[in-house]
Amino acid sequence: MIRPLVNDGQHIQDGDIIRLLDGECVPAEERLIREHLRECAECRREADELERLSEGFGRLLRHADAVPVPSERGEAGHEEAVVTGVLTRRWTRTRVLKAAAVVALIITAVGVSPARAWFIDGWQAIRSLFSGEPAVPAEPAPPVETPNAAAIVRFTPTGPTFTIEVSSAQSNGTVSLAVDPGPSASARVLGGDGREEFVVFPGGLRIMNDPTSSASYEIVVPRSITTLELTIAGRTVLSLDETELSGLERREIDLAQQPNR
Amino acid sequence: MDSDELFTEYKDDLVRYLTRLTGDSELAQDAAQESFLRMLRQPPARQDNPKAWLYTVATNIVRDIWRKQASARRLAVPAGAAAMADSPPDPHAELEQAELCRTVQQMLAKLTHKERTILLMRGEGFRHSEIAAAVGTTTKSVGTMIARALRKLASEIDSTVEALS
Repeated sequence: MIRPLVNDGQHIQDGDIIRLLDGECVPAEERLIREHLRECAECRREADELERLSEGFGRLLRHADAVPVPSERGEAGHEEAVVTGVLTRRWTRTRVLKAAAVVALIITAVGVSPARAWFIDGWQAIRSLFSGEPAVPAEPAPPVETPNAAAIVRFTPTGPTFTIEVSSAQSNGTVSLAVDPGPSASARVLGGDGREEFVVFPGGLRIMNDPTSSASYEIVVPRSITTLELTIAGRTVLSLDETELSGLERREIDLAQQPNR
Repeated sequence: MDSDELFTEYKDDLVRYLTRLTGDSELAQDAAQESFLRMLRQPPARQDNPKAWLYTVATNIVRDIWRKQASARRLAVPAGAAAMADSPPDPHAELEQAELCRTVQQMLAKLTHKERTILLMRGEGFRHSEIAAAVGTTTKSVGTMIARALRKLASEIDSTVEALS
Protein backbone atom coordinates (compact mmCIF):
# COMPACT_ATOMS: atom_id res chain seq x y z
CA MET A 1 0.00 0.00 0.00
CA ILE A 2 1.26 3.44 -0.88
CA ARG A 3 1.21 5.88 1.98
CA PRO A 4 0.27 9.50 1.50
CA LEU A 5 3.42 11.26 0.46
CA VAL A 6 2.68 14.64 1.82
CA ASN A 7 2.37 16.27 5.21
CA ASP A 8 0.25 19.20 4.39
CA GLY A 9 -0.88 18.43 0.94
CA GLN A 10 2.34 19.64 -0.61
CA HIS A 11 5.53 18.23 0.83
CA ILE A 12 7.15 14.88 1.42
CA GLN A 13 7.61 13.73 4.98
CA ASP A 14 11.13 13.30 6.33
CA GLY A 15 10.40 9.67 7.03
CA ASP A 16 9.55 9.07 3.40
CA ILE A 17 12.84 10.61 2.32
CA ILE A 18 14.70 8.26 4.64
CA ARG A 19 12.70 5.32 3.37
CA LEU A 20 13.64 6.34 -0.15
CA LEU A 21 17.32 6.61 0.78
CA ASP A 22 17.18 3.22 2.49
CA GLY A 23 15.46 1.47 -0.36
CA GLU A 24 12.40 0.80 1.75
CA CYS A 25 9.85 2.08 -0.74
CA VAL A 26 7.93 -0.10 -3.13
CA PRO A 27 8.54 0.87 -6.77
CA ALA A 28 5.30 2.79 -7.20
CA GLU A 29 5.94 4.74 -4.03
CA GLU A 30 9.50 5.48 -5.03
CA ARG A 31 8.33 6.75 -8.37
CA LEU A 32 5.86 9.14 -6.74
CA ILE A 33 8.46 10.47 -4.34
CA ARG A 34 11.01 11.00 -7.07
CA GLU A 35 8.46 12.77 -9.22
CA HIS A 36 7.66 15.08 -6.36
CA LEU A 37 11.32 15.77 -5.70
CA ARG A 38 11.83 16.75 -9.30
CA GLU A 39 9.07 19.29 -9.02
CA CYS A 40 9.56 20.60 -5.50
CA ALA A 41 12.76 22.50 -4.74
CA GLU A 42 11.94 22.71 -1.05
CA CYS A 43 11.57 18.94 -0.67
CA ARG A 44 14.66 18.45 -2.78
CA ARG A 45 16.62 20.62 -0.34
CA GLU A 46 15.27 18.63 2.57
CA ALA A 47 16.11 15.37 0.84
CA ASP A 48 19.61 16.58 0.01
CA GLU A 49 20.14 17.62 3.60
CA LEU A 50 18.99 14.29 4.99
CA GLU A 51 21.13 12.45 2.49
CA ARG A 52 24.14 14.58 3.44
CA LEU A 53 23.55 14.00 7.14
CA SER A 54 23.00 10.32 6.60
CA GLU A 55 26.21 9.91 4.65
CA GLY A 56 28.11 12.10 7.09
CA PHE A 57 26.94 10.12 10.06
CA GLY A 58 27.88 6.87 8.38
CA ARG A 59 31.28 8.28 7.56
CA LEU A 60 31.85 9.32 11.16
CA LEU A 61 30.94 5.87 12.41
CA ARG A 62 33.29 4.23 9.96
CA HIS A 63 36.13 6.53 10.94
CA ALA A 64 35.46 6.00 14.61
CA ASP A 65 35.59 2.28 13.95
CA ALA A 66 39.02 2.51 12.43
CA VAL A 67 40.26 1.41 15.80
CA PRO A 68 39.83 -2.29 16.49
CA VAL A 69 36.75 -3.46 18.24
CA PRO A 70 37.49 -4.83 21.70
CA SER A 71 37.63 -8.38 20.48
CA GLU A 72 40.44 -7.59 18.12
CA ARG A 73 42.66 -6.03 20.69
CA GLY A 74 46.02 -7.45 21.45
CA GLU A 75 46.40 -9.35 18.23
CA ALA A 76 49.50 -7.66 17.00
CA GLY A 77 52.65 -9.50 17.75
CA HIS A 78 50.96 -12.51 19.28
CA GLU A 79 50.93 -16.02 18.08
CA GLU A 80 48.02 -17.75 16.50
CA ALA A 81 45.69 -19.15 19.10
CA VAL A 82 46.13 -22.79 19.83
CA VAL A 83 42.41 -23.37 20.00
CA THR A 84 41.32 -25.40 17.08
CA GLY A 85 38.38 -24.44 14.96
CA VAL A 86 37.46 -21.08 13.61
CA LEU A 87 35.30 -19.95 16.46
CA THR A 88 37.83 -18.78 18.89
CA ARG A 89 40.78 -18.25 16.69
CA ARG A 90 40.46 -14.54 16.22
CA TRP A 91 39.32 -13.93 19.75
CA THR A 92 42.06 -15.74 21.50
CA ARG A 93 45.18 -14.04 20.36
CA THR A 94 45.75 -12.38 23.65
CA ARG A 95 48.90 -12.93 25.53
CA VAL A 96 47.49 -14.82 28.44
CA LEU A 97 44.59 -16.66 26.92
CA LYS A 98 45.67 -19.12 24.32
CA ALA A 99 44.36 -22.37 25.66
CA ALA A 100 41.22 -24.15 24.62
CA ALA A 101 39.20 -22.45 27.27
CA VAL A 102 39.69 -19.83 29.81
CA VAL A 103 42.81 -20.11 31.84
CA ALA A 104 41.04 -18.65 34.78
CA LEU A 105 44.09 -18.63 36.92
CA ILE A 106 45.73 -16.24 34.56
CA ILE A 107 42.55 -14.26 34.19
CA THR A 108 42.57 -13.66 37.88
CA ALA A 109 46.14 -12.56 37.71
CA VAL A 110 45.44 -9.91 35.08
CA GLY A 111 42.22 -8.77 36.64
CA VAL A 112 39.89 -9.59 33.77
CA SER A 113 36.36 -10.61 34.55
CA PRO A 114 36.32 -14.40 34.28
CA ALA A 115 32.90 -14.30 32.73
CA ARG A 116 33.94 -11.82 30.11
CA ALA A 117 37.15 -13.58 29.33
CA TRP A 118 35.29 -16.82 29.27
CA PHE A 119 33.02 -15.39 26.63
CA ILE A 120 35.87 -14.17 24.59
CA ASP A 121 37.91 -17.29 24.75
CA GLY A 122 35.76 -20.14 25.76
CA TRP A 123 32.90 -20.08 23.34
CA GLN A 124 33.62 -23.47 21.96
CA ALA A 125 33.85 -25.07 25.35
CA ILE A 126 30.69 -23.49 26.65
CA ARG A 127 28.78 -24.17 23.47
CA SER A 128 29.62 -27.82 23.79
CA LEU A 129 28.07 -27.87 27.24
CA PHE A 130 24.79 -26.60 25.88
CA SER A 131 24.77 -28.68 22.77
CA GLY A 132 25.94 -31.89 24.35
CA GLU A 133 28.54 -32.25 21.65
CA PRO A 134 32.13 -32.73 22.69
CA ALA A 135 34.28 -29.69 22.44
CA VAL A 136 36.86 -29.75 19.74
CA PRO A 137 39.98 -31.06 21.43
CA ALA A 138 42.46 -28.38 22.07
CA GLU A 139 46.10 -28.60 21.36
CA PRO A 140 48.24 -28.67 24.46
CA ALA A 141 48.22 -25.37 26.24
CA PRO A 142 51.49 -23.53 26.33
CA PRO A 143 53.26 -23.53 29.66
CA VAL A 144 52.25 -20.67 31.87
CA GLU A 145 54.90 -18.27 32.91
CA THR A 146 54.36 -18.46 36.64
CA PRO A 147 53.71 -21.32 39.01
CA ASN A 148 50.01 -21.70 39.54
CA ALA A 149 50.01 -23.43 42.89
CA ALA A 150 48.99 -20.29 44.73
CA ALA A 151 46.71 -18.91 42.04
CA ILE A 152 43.02 -18.81 42.64
CA VAL A 153 40.01 -18.00 40.54
CA ARG A 154 36.84 -16.51 41.98
CA PHE A 155 33.52 -16.18 40.26
CA THR A 156 29.81 -15.99 41.01
CA PRO A 157 27.63 -18.86 39.83
CA THR A 158 24.42 -17.79 38.18
CA GLY A 159 22.05 -20.48 39.35
CA PRO A 160 21.30 -22.92 42.16
CA THR A 161 22.85 -25.86 40.35
CA PHE A 162 26.60 -26.18 40.19
CA THR A 163 28.50 -28.66 38.10
CA ILE A 164 32.16 -29.46 38.39
CA GLU A 165 33.63 -31.35 35.50
CA VAL A 166 37.09 -32.78 35.77
CA SER A 167 38.14 -33.67 32.27
CA SER A 168 40.50 -36.51 33.18
CA ALA A 169 41.05 -38.88 36.04
CA GLN A 170 44.49 -38.71 37.59
CA SER A 171 46.70 -41.26 39.29
CA ASN A 172 47.25 -38.82 42.15
CA GLY A 173 45.46 -35.85 43.63
CA THR A 174 42.09 -34.99 45.07
CA VAL A 175 39.16 -32.71 44.55
CA SER A 176 38.33 -30.97 47.78
CA LEU A 177 34.87 -29.45 48.18
CA ALA A 178 33.71 -26.89 50.72
CA VAL A 179 30.77 -24.54 51.15
CA ASP A 180 31.13 -20.88 51.96
CA PRO A 181 28.42 -18.49 53.17
CA GLY A 182 29.49 -15.82 50.68
CA PRO A 183 28.08 -15.41 47.17
CA SER A 184 31.23 -16.37 45.33
CA ALA A 185 32.77 -19.62 44.29
CA SER A 186 36.48 -20.16 44.11
CA ALA A 187 38.85 -22.75 42.81
CA ARG A 188 42.56 -23.27 43.02
CA VAL A 189 45.16 -25.75 42.00
CA LEU A 190 47.62 -27.20 44.45
CA GLY A 191 50.73 -28.97 43.30
CA GLY A 192 50.04 -28.45 39.64
CA ASP A 193 52.62 -28.24 36.94
CA GLY A 194 51.05 -25.37 35.04
CA ARG A 195 49.03 -27.43 32.61
CA GLU A 196 45.85 -27.46 34.66
CA GLU A 197 43.23 -24.95 33.63
CA PHE A 198 39.86 -23.81 34.85
CA VAL A 199 36.98 -23.00 32.57
CA VAL A 200 34.32 -20.98 34.30
CA PHE A 201 30.86 -21.27 32.88
CA PRO A 202 27.55 -19.92 34.19
CA GLY A 203 26.56 -23.04 36.08
CA GLY A 204 29.87 -24.31 37.24
CA LEU A 205 33.44 -25.09 36.52
CA ARG A 206 35.43 -27.32 34.26
CA ILE A 207 38.88 -28.47 35.28
CA MET A 208 40.99 -29.13 32.23
CA ASN A 209 43.65 -31.45 33.54
CA ASP A 210 46.02 -34.05 32.28
CA PRO A 211 45.86 -37.74 33.36
CA THR A 212 49.51 -37.55 34.30
CA SER A 213 49.00 -34.57 36.58
CA SER A 214 49.31 -34.99 40.30
CA ALA A 215 47.57 -31.75 41.18
CA SER A 216 44.77 -31.37 43.68
CA TYR A 217 41.91 -28.94 43.34
CA GLU A 218 40.22 -26.99 46.10
CA ILE A 219 36.77 -25.79 45.22
CA VAL A 220 34.53 -23.67 47.38
CA VAL A 221 30.91 -23.11 46.37
CA PRO A 222 28.50 -20.58 47.84
CA ARG A 223 25.78 -21.58 50.27
CA SER A 224 23.19 -20.53 47.67
CA ILE A 225 23.99 -23.64 45.63
CA THR A 226 21.33 -26.28 46.16
CA THR A 227 22.58 -28.98 43.85
CA LEU A 228 26.15 -29.94 43.14
CA GLU A 229 27.41 -32.56 40.77
CA LEU A 230 30.96 -33.67 40.22
CA THR A 231 31.96 -35.60 37.14
CA ILE A 232 35.36 -37.01 36.39
CA ALA A 233 36.18 -38.03 32.85
CA GLY A 234 32.51 -37.83 32.02
CA ARG A 235 31.40 -40.04 34.87
CA THR A 236 29.31 -38.68 37.72
CA VAL A 237 31.09 -39.47 40.95
CA LEU A 238 29.27 -37.22 43.36
CA SER A 239 25.87 -35.63 43.53
CA LEU A 240 24.82 -33.55 46.51
CA ASP A 241 21.41 -32.07 47.20
CA GLU A 242 20.55 -29.06 49.31
CA THR A 243 20.45 -30.96 52.59
CA GLU A 244 23.78 -32.63 51.97
CA LEU A 245 25.35 -29.37 50.91
CA SER A 246 24.08 -27.54 53.97
CA GLY A 247 25.85 -30.05 56.19
CA LEU A 248 28.98 -30.16 54.12
CA GLU A 249 32.13 -28.96 55.78
CA ARG A 250 34.74 -30.48 53.55
CA ARG A 251 34.68 -33.43 51.23
CA GLU A 252 37.60 -34.93 49.43
CA ILE A 253 37.29 -37.09 46.39
CA ASP A 254 40.31 -39.09 45.38
CA LEU A 255 41.01 -38.70 41.71
CA ALA A 256 43.05 -41.91 41.73
CA GLN A 257 39.96 -43.96 42.48
CA GLN A 258 38.20 -42.92 39.34
CA PRO A 259 38.07 -45.20 36.30
CA ASN A 260 38.44 -44.20 32.71
CA ARG A 261 42.05 -43.35 33.01
CA MET B 1 23.25 -21.40 10.45
CA ASP B 2 24.18 -23.02 13.73
CA SER B 3 25.30 -21.27 16.87
CA ASP B 4 28.97 -21.57 16.00
CA GLU B 5 28.45 -19.93 12.66
CA LEU B 6 26.32 -17.23 14.21
CA PHE B 7 28.99 -16.54 16.76
CA THR B 8 31.72 -16.39 14.16
CA GLU B 9 29.66 -14.31 11.79
CA TYR B 10 28.24 -11.75 14.14
CA LYS B 11 30.30 -11.43 17.30
CA ASP B 12 32.55 -8.65 16.06
CA ASP B 13 29.71 -6.72 14.49
CA LEU B 14 27.58 -7.12 17.58
CA VAL B 15 30.31 -5.91 19.92
CA ARG B 16 31.02 -2.97 17.63
CA TYR B 17 27.34 -2.06 17.53
CA LEU B 18 27.04 -2.35 21.30
CA THR B 19 30.20 -0.35 21.84
CA ARG B 20 28.74 2.40 19.71
CA LEU B 21 25.43 2.11 21.50
CA THR B 22 26.83 2.19 24.99
CA GLY B 23 30.15 3.96 24.62
CA ASP B 24 31.45 1.32 26.98
CA SER B 25 33.46 -1.53 25.50
CA GLU B 26 33.22 -3.67 28.62
CA LEU B 27 29.48 -3.29 28.86
CA ALA B 28 29.31 -4.05 25.16
CA GLN B 29 31.16 -7.30 25.64
CA ASP B 30 29.04 -8.23 28.61
CA ALA B 31 25.85 -7.59 26.67
CA ALA B 32 27.14 -9.50 23.66
CA GLN B 33 28.12 -12.37 25.90
CA GLU B 34 24.70 -12.46 27.46
CA SER B 35 23.07 -12.36 24.04
CA PHE B 36 24.98 -15.39 22.82
CA LEU B 37 24.27 -17.16 26.07
CA ARG B 38 20.56 -16.58 25.63
CA MET B 39 20.86 -17.89 22.12
CA LEU B 40 22.23 -21.12 23.55
CA ARG B 41 19.78 -21.35 26.41
CA GLN B 42 16.68 -20.33 24.52
CA PRO B 43 17.28 -20.31 20.79
CA PRO B 44 14.97 -18.03 18.83
CA ALA B 45 11.72 -19.68 17.93
CA ARG B 46 12.04 -18.39 14.41
CA GLN B 47 15.34 -19.08 12.76
CA ASP B 48 14.79 -16.99 9.67
CA ASN B 49 16.58 -13.92 10.98
CA PRO B 50 18.93 -14.82 13.80
CA LYS B 51 20.99 -11.67 13.31
CA ALA B 52 18.02 -9.44 13.98
CA TRP B 53 17.14 -11.63 16.95
CA LEU B 54 20.64 -11.28 18.38
CA TYR B 55 20.70 -7.52 17.98
CA THR B 56 17.25 -7.18 19.47
CA VAL B 57 18.19 -9.26 22.48
CA ALA B 58 21.44 -7.35 22.90
CA THR B 59 19.70 -4.01 22.64
CA ASN B 60 17.16 -5.07 25.23
CA ILE B 61 19.89 -6.27 27.54
CA VAL B 62 21.58 -2.88 27.35
CA ARG B 63 18.28 -1.13 27.92
CA ASP B 64 17.57 -3.31 30.95
CA ILE B 65 21.00 -2.68 32.40
CA TRP B 66 20.55 1.03 31.96
CA ARG B 67 17.15 0.94 33.53
CA LYS B 68 18.58 -0.81 36.54
CA GLN B 69 21.39 1.65 36.76
CA ALA B 70 19.32 4.65 35.74
CA SER B 71 20.23 6.70 38.73
CA ALA B 72 23.91 6.19 38.28
CA ARG B 73 24.71 5.49 34.68
CA ARG B 74 24.94 8.00 31.94
CA LEU B 75 26.17 7.23 28.51
CA ALA B 76 29.80 6.67 29.07
CA VAL B 77 32.15 8.81 27.12
CA PRO B 78 35.53 7.21 26.71
CA ALA B 79 38.08 9.06 28.71
CA GLY B 80 40.57 8.79 25.93
CA ALA B 81 42.13 6.52 23.44
CA ALA B 82 42.49 3.77 25.96
CA ALA B 83 38.76 3.39 26.19
CA MET B 84 38.37 2.43 22.59
CA ALA B 85 41.72 1.42 21.24
CA ASP B 86 45.08 0.02 21.89
CA SER B 87 48.10 1.93 20.72
CA PRO B 88 47.91 2.72 17.05
CA PRO B 89 51.34 3.02 15.59
CA ASP B 90 51.11 6.74 14.96
CA PRO B 91 50.74 8.88 18.10
CA HIS B 92 49.23 11.73 16.12
CA ALA B 93 46.71 9.40 14.53
CA GLU B 94 46.01 7.98 17.96
CA LEU B 95 45.10 11.38 19.30
CA GLU B 96 42.92 12.18 16.34
CA GLN B 97 41.26 8.81 16.60
CA ALA B 98 40.58 9.25 20.29
CA GLU B 99 39.13 12.67 19.70
CA LEU B 100 36.87 11.38 16.97
CA CYS B 101 35.68 8.50 19.14
CA ARG B 102 34.92 10.95 21.91
CA THR B 103 33.09 13.28 19.55
CA VAL B 104 30.97 10.49 18.13
CA GLN B 105 30.11 9.23 21.59
CA GLN B 106 29.18 12.71 22.75
CA MET B 107 27.06 13.07 19.67
CA LEU B 108 25.27 9.79 20.29
CA ALA B 109 24.73 10.74 23.90
CA LYS B 110 22.43 13.51 22.77
CA LEU B 111 19.97 11.00 21.41
CA THR B 112 17.45 8.97 23.30
CA HIS B 113 18.17 5.28 23.67
CA LYS B 114 15.58 4.51 21.03
CA GLU B 115 16.93 7.05 18.58
CA ARG B 116 20.46 5.84 19.13
CA THR B 117 19.43 2.23 18.65
CA ILE B 118 17.55 3.01 15.48
CA LEU B 119 20.37 5.01 13.99
CA LEU B 120 23.02 2.44 14.85
CA MET B 121 20.98 -0.53 13.69
CA ARG B 122 20.44 1.31 10.46
CA GLY B 123 24.20 1.68 10.25
CA GLU B 124 24.45 -2.09 10.63
CA GLY B 125 22.29 -2.51 7.56
CA PHE B 126 19.06 -3.66 9.16
CA ARG B 127 15.75 -3.15 7.39
CA HIS B 128 13.25 -0.79 8.90
CA SER B 129 10.97 -3.67 9.81
CA GLU B 130 13.80 -5.32 11.75
CA ILE B 131 14.66 -2.10 13.51
CA ALA B 132 11.02 -1.56 14.35
CA ALA B 133 10.78 -5.00 15.89
CA ALA B 134 13.93 -4.41 17.93
CA VAL B 135 12.81 -1.15 19.47
CA GLY B 136 9.10 -1.85 19.66
CA THR B 137 7.72 0.62 17.19
CA THR B 138 6.06 0.56 13.81
CA THR B 139 7.98 0.16 10.59
CA LYS B 140 6.40 3.35 9.37
CA SER B 141 7.81 5.42 12.20
CA VAL B 142 11.41 4.20 11.81
CA GLY B 143 12.14 6.50 8.89
CA THR B 144 10.67 9.43 10.78
CA MET B 145 12.79 8.68 13.84
CA ILE B 146 15.94 8.32 11.75
CA ALA B 147 15.31 11.70 10.18
CA ARG B 148 14.60 13.26 13.55
CA ALA B 149 17.78 11.85 15.03
CA LEU B 150 19.88 13.01 12.08
CA ARG B 151 18.44 16.49 12.27
CA LYS B 152 19.08 16.58 15.99
CA LEU B 153 22.75 15.91 15.28
CA ALA B 154 22.95 18.01 12.14
CA SER B 155 25.36 20.67 13.33
CA GLU B 156 27.70 18.15 14.98
CA ILE B 157 27.69 15.87 11.95
CA ASP B 158 28.46 18.73 9.60
CA SER B 159 31.22 20.23 11.71
CA THR B 160 32.87 16.89 12.46
CA VAL B 161 32.75 15.73 8.87
CA GLU B 162 34.20 19.04 7.80
CA ALA B 163 37.01 18.63 10.30
CA LEU B 164 37.73 15.19 8.85
CA SER B 165 38.03 16.54 5.33
